Parts: sequence; C-alpha cells; structure tokens
Amino acid sequence: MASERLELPQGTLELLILQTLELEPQHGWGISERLNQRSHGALQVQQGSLYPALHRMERRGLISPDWRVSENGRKAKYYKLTARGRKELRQQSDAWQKLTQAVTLLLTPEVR
Amino acid sequence: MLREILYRLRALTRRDDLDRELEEELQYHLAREAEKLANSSDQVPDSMRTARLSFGPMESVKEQCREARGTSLIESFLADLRYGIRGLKKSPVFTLVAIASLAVGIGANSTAFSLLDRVVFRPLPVERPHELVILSLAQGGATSGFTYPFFREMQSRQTVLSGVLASADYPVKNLIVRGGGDPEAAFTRLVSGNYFEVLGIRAAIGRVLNSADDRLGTAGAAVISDRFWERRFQRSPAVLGTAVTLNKAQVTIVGVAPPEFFGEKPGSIPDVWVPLALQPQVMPSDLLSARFMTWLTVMGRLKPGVPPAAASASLTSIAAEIGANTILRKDAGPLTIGLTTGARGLEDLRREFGKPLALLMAMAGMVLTIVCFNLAMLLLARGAARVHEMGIRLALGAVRVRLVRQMLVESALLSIAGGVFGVALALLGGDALLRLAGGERETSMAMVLDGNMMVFTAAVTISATFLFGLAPALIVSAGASPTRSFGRQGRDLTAPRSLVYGAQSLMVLQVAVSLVVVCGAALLTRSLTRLRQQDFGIRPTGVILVKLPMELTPAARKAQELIRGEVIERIRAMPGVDSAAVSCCGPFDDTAHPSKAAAESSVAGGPAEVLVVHASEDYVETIGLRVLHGRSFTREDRKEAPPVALLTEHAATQLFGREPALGRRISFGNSFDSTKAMEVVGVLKNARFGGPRDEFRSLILVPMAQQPSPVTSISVRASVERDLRHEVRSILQQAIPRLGLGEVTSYSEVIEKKLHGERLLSLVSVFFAVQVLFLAAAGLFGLVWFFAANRERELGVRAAMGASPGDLRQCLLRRSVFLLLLGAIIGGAGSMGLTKAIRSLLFGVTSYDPFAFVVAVCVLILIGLSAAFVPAWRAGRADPLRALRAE
Repeated sequence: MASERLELPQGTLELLILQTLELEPQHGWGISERLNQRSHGALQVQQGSLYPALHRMERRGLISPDWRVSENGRKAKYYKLTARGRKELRQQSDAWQKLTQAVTLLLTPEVR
Repeated sequence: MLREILYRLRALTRRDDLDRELEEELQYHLAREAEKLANSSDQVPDSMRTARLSFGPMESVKEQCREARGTSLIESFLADLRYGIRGLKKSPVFTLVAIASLAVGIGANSTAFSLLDRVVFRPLPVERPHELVILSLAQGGATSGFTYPFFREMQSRQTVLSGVLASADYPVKNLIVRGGGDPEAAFTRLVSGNYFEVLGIRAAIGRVLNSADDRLGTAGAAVISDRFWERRFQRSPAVLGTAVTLNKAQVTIVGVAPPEFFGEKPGSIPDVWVPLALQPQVMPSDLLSARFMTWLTVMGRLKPGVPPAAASASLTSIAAEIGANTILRKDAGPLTIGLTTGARGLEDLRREFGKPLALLMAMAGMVLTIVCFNLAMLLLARGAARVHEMGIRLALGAVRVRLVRQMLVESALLSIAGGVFGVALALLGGDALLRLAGGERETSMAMVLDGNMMVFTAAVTISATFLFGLAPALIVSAGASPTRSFGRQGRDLTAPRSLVYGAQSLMVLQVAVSLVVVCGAALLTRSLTRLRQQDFGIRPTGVILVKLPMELTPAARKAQELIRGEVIERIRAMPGVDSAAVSCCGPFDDTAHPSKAAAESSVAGGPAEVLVVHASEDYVETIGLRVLHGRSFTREDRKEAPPVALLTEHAATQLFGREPALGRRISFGNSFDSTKAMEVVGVLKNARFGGPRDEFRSLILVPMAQQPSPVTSISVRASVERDLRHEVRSILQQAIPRLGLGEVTSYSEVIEKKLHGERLLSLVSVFFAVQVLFLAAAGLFGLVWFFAANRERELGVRAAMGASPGDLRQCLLRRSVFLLLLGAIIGGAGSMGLTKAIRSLLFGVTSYDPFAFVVAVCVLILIGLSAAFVPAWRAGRADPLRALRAE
C-alpha cells in the first residue's frame, strides 16, 4: 500500500489545505485526517510536514488561528480561511485546473 | 503588508508564548493520533510511539515551524548568542586567553594601519587634494627646487595653474619666539603669502596669510598651529594681535590654523607659518635675491580640465622664456618642469617611514594570523569534547548548518570582544609606544580613533572570525554523527581523525609563521645594535652638546661673542671637563647646508659637494674626529694667520683623487678662487655627520677665527662619570641670561633620537616575537594535552602491557618535535623571503644572518618543547587500571 502512495507535487499542499478549510475551520490533525480520507489514502502527507506549511500560511495571512475547544473536549488550535485565503484558493485551483487539463491533453494519445 | 509586519513583531516579542502554543498544537496532534490508533480495529499496543513515528522528526518540524514564522533568523541568532555566552562563561580561562590574544593581534593591526594610513595613504587635509601638483626642475638628470626670483616670475607668468605656492625647504627649527611668554624655540616654516589660499585652508580663528602679507616691507604677520596655540597661549582667543619677535622679525599673530592642518609634509607639524618676505630677518643670509639658491618647494593647483602633460609643457616653455637655464648648470642642456601629484603632500616622511610602517603592518598581520591559528587549534580541541554532544543533537533533529552557525557565533563573540579591547589597546598602547620610542617633537604623531581605523578594525575583526572560526566549526560538525555518539561502546572516546590532522596542521603553520616573526625581530634588533655600535668617525660617548638658536639680533650677536670667548674658557676650566669647543653645524644636526668646493690644479676635475663646519680649536679632539695626516686646528690659526682647512678622506678623494691632499690649496665655490684660497693642513678619517644611516659625506672644517660664523653648538667632552649638563647650563644662563637656550643634550642622545624609527621597529618586533612565542607555547601545551587526553585509553593499555612512563612520554614528545621541526623548515623558507624584502631596512647584517636564524629556531624549539613537556609528563602516569576497566 505504501508504495502506491503519491508524493505531493511542490506547492500543492497549500492548495489542499485551503480547500479543506473552505468547508469549515479545522485543526492540524483534523486537516491531516481529512486529506487522508478524501484521497482514500492515496496521498501521503507526512503528518509533521503539515505544520510548517500551516505556519507559513498563517504568516502570509491566508489563514488565521482560532483557539477553540475541540470535539474531544480539549483546547485546540483551529485554522480558518481569511478573505485573502479565499481569493488565493480561487486563483490556485483555477491555475491547477488549467494546468492539469493541459497536461492531460498532452498526455492523451491523439485519435485519428 | 502591515499584517505581516505585525505578525512578525508578535512572533519576535512573544517568542516564548508562540513556542508554547506550538508545543501545545503538536501535542494535541499526537494525542489525537494516538487516541485514534488505540481505538482502531488493529488495537495498536504502544499507540503513542507509533503516533510519534508517523509524525516524523519532532525537533526538525518545530525548527521548520519557527522558520516559517519568518523571524527565526533573528530568534535563533539570539538563541545562538545566549548559547555562545553560556559556553564561553563555562571556560573562563580559554575565553580570557582568546580575547586577550585577539585584542593584542587586532590592536597591533589597528595601530599599524592608523600610522600607515596617515603617513602613506591619506591625501592632505586640504580642499580637493587631487588637483594639487608638485613642480620640479629637471636638467640633465638632476632635479632641484626653485630659486625665489624664478618662483616669482613663474607665478606671475603661468596660465595653467589656478594658484602656485612656495614653501621653504629649510624648516627653521629652534627659532626663538619672544613675546607672550618666556623665550621658546619654535618650529617655523616660511611660505608664500597665498599658501593657505591655494591649499584652501581657512583659519580656525582670525585669518590666514594673504599675498599682501608677503610683500617686502609690510608689517610681519604669522599664523600659528593649533598645537602651538595650545602650548604657548592655552587656546586664549586673545592670541590674535599678539606681537612676537622671531629672530629679527617683528610679527603679529593674525590667525590659528585648523587643528587637522599640518602643512604639506605629512607628519611634520610646524608651530608658526610666516611669509617668505620675512626670510632675511629670520635666517642668517638673504636668500630672496640669491639667483642660484634653490631653496623653495613649489606646488600648484591645476586648473580644471588642464591635463598635467599640457601644464608641464606650458610651464617648461615659460621657464625657457625666463631664462632659468642658469639655475642648475649652464652646460647641462635644456631645463624642463615636471609635475607630480601633490595629493598626498611631499614625500619626505613617506620615504622615511613608509617601508618600516609597511613592515610593521606585515608583522602585525602575521601576529594576528598566528593568534587565529592558535585559536582555531584550541577550538578544535574544545570541539573534540563537543563532538559527542553534537552527535546527540543531530540525532534529535538539529540541522548541521545550525551547529556550524552556533560555533561561528561563539567565535564572533570572541573576536568582537577582542576587537573592542584591541582598539582601546591601540589608542592607549600605541601612544605609549610612540612615546617610548621617542622621536623629534615636530614629527611625533598621536593615535586618533577615526573612521578609517574603525572600518579597518571592523574588517579585520570579521575576517579574523572566519579565519579562526570557520574551519573548526566545519570540521567539528562534520565529525559529529548520531551513529558515532550512540556507537557500539556507547561513546567513542577518541576524536575524529580529521580533527587531529586539522589541529596538527594548524600547529605546524603556527610554528612556521612564528619563526618568521621571531627571525624578523632578531634581525631588526641586531641591526639596531650595529647602528649604535658602528664607527661614526667621531667618539660620541661622553660629549655634551648645547644647541644654540640662530638668533640674529644685536643682543644675540653680543652673546655669541661672549660664548666664543669667556664662556668657553669657563667651561674648559670646569673640573672634569677635558676639552670644549664651539662650532657652526656639527654632526647629526640638520642645519648644515651643502656648499661647493674646488681645488687648485686638480686632476679629479670639477667642484665637490661638501658640508662646511666652522669650528674653534680643540673641536676635532672634543668630538673625537681622528687626524690621519697632518694636524688639527691650533690657537695659531688666527685671523691674521694664513687660511687653513681640514678635509675628511672622502672630501680629499673627491677633490684630489689619489694624489696627496696635504699642503694643497682649495677654495669654496664652483671654481678655484686664489684670493679665498685655504691650505689643507690635515686629513681626517671619514665621519657620519648626517646620521647613523647616512653615507659618508665630504666635510671641510675651517677655523671659526678665520671665517667668522654664528655659533650653533657647544661641544664639551667630560671624563667624569658625573653628568655635567646642569653645570654647563648654569654657566650659560649666568653669562648670557638674555639668550634663549636651545637644548642641552649629548651626542649619544642625539644619535638615539635619530634612531627612533629603528628603535620603534625593534621594540615592536620584539614585543610581537615574545607574544608569538607565548602563543606557540600555549598552543603546543594545549595540543599535547589534547593528544594525551585523546589517547588516554591507548596509553593506559600500553602501560598495562608494560610500557614505562618514559616510553609514553617519549611517544607524545616525539610528535611535538616532529611538528616543531616541520614548522621550522617551512618557516625558515618563509623568513628567507621576508628578510630579503626588508634588506633595505637592515644595517650591517646580511639578510641570511645565520646567527639570528639559529637563535630564533633554538628559542622556538626550546619553548615549544618545554610547553609540551608538562602534559606529556602527566600522560606518562596513565593509569592502566582505568583503561582496562573502560574496555
């Protein structure tokens, strides 16, 4: 199973985090779980590497921290999308769509 | 943008809070993960551990998060700083030694640089110095200064310079100033009226000289230097308008020059500037109308856009119009006027001190290099003890770059402290050193902290940090590895090989450079001894010298007569005095003016350049000149007696070639003049009159009774141990109370004064050598200690196998001898190179002086070995039981 997991291309982790947070504010572990579930385990994000990305995004103002009591009763650091984050998500997912479409097009064998 | 700044600010100021939050956040993650694993269907047994494993390296993640905050650079730097300070506090001896040696090393460099900067590099403190040019007359390969009439003609006709100034080549030292206090000797410089104007110097108070002051017959005006203002007038503003007399000249002080201005000769600071027009009243003979006396240095400021070559051509054609061809020699061909850059002023001081200062700088550089090698070695040895610690930190996820940075910060702390103390040392020690070496007042310099010196010191400090810090940091961090720290034996006891090799190579380099410094010191010191003990042609020991000012007032003339007669007789009659004599110009005073002499019917040809000494009888005996042929002066050489003269060998050869000079006739001037002929009655052994390093020059002695001249010095030979200076002074003060005394000194002192540059060099180089030897000893001590500690177990095993303590010691000492010899060989080659480069500074020693070299090597090896012996002896007592227990 491990060998079938995909490495994330550079820069896509942020996009995935933004996407995840669009639904609702979430804490680090929650984001990691969500990513795992939604990709059906195909994407392997090393849990540790999530946090530097979160902190970087916080610095850039894409997400903002929000300490709340979590579902298990403990205080946890939730992240929520800011207006800037929303804008960034739109731009990045647009760009991603265009890129993948173009790449797919190129990779599809031409039908004569 | 604002938001990001706020975030970073918060990150910086609330570092601890954020760190706690981060910890909490990550712990929350682990707890949830563990919880999930524990509740999952697999029922993972040690769920927390599995959670940690799947999380990844915790420390590294934290570090990355801190970095992501964007302030980690500053933050981690602060952490490194704290870590560094803590580390240094823990080993105070190392820290002290390191800072002290860096302070001396950096201080030496700052001192040498500061002097070099002011004497050699820096432009004159005048307006737009790069426009200034120095004019020189060249004819048939010879160059000379300018005559006064020629300078004036030139000044009025030229069109290429925006201003032309002249200053007299003869500095008038010991000129007595009267008025506004006790009579005092002052160093005066004669300059053209537009001097300050052309240089662009404004007065600090009052005004500078102007062209109107420089007209014959106008009331005399003078500008004084800041130092003189301080010394004589205590900076009183009332100085303006004060009337003083300089010799026969009545002058009014009209202004004070700015403190940073010293004239056009770097390092020589006049007390008073007066216009050229006053020359006849200040000096004994009138040079203003002299058509052949070239006594002026002329400088000008190029007009914007005029290339120097064009200016030179234009000036040359004007010179031809004026008919200057007669100035040098009639037959020597066309005369040209050359221009050289005047931005840095006149060469004098640069020529005299440029090379010694460069040598000083080079030695200071070498000392600092040695300090750095030494520190690098000590850091490596320290690093050996930290390899283990670093391995553990690497295992915990620390980044290697961070380890290197941490060690560099520690080094930077050391060198910054060293730099700060170094500057303090340069300011205090440099001044003390300059005072210790002595020197003439008008060329003395003081240490000043200025921008150039600060920048230089900062640059030196930074490069030193990398020189001694980088290699150990890289080697130690490369040597550290997690597997090593958690190795088979729990802990590997010996240091990595790269560390041992690194330390050894540094030791060899250190020994090599040390040898060069020690060799240089030995050569310079031997050269100084040779300079002192050389045959001067006179016997300076035991001769008191009274230097008298050349005053031209009627009162002074009367006093001079008294000196020639009554005073000298009274001195001769003093108990303990062997002989006494008066003269005009003598050995080692700079007042002697060259003159020309010609012989009657000589095969040797043209006139000879000679120095003329007017002397009373007994002069030859008093200063210890030796008569080779003929006789010296006697009381019979009176005014009415046939004129006579004494020649030195050199003069005799110049005038008569190989023919005997005794009984021949000579006269002063370019060709023989029988109406002023003198008979040569004696030939003297050559004497160095210029100074200890001067070549033999041609001297002609004439009796003062036959050719009158002012008395500038009284020489007294005393045979008693007791110093008669005080008595001589009181006799003079009684007899001629109105005459300002120049200076009562001795020939030995005058020689020492002349040698102050050499003495300074020797003093400093010996100081450097001692320091370098101390460092080498400390280095070797530390290194052998480190070897011994590093091989403790091996030595213990050997002891257990039956090796005697002596064997163990030998094994450590053999290594030291090897390192020392290797260093000596490399250093030997290096010192050959150095000594070749400084040959011109040496006197009476060849640059491959075997004595100095052997002494240097022996001292170095002896000191090195005794330093190595202590730790080696200690290691000899290695305990076999301890070693075996550890196995």
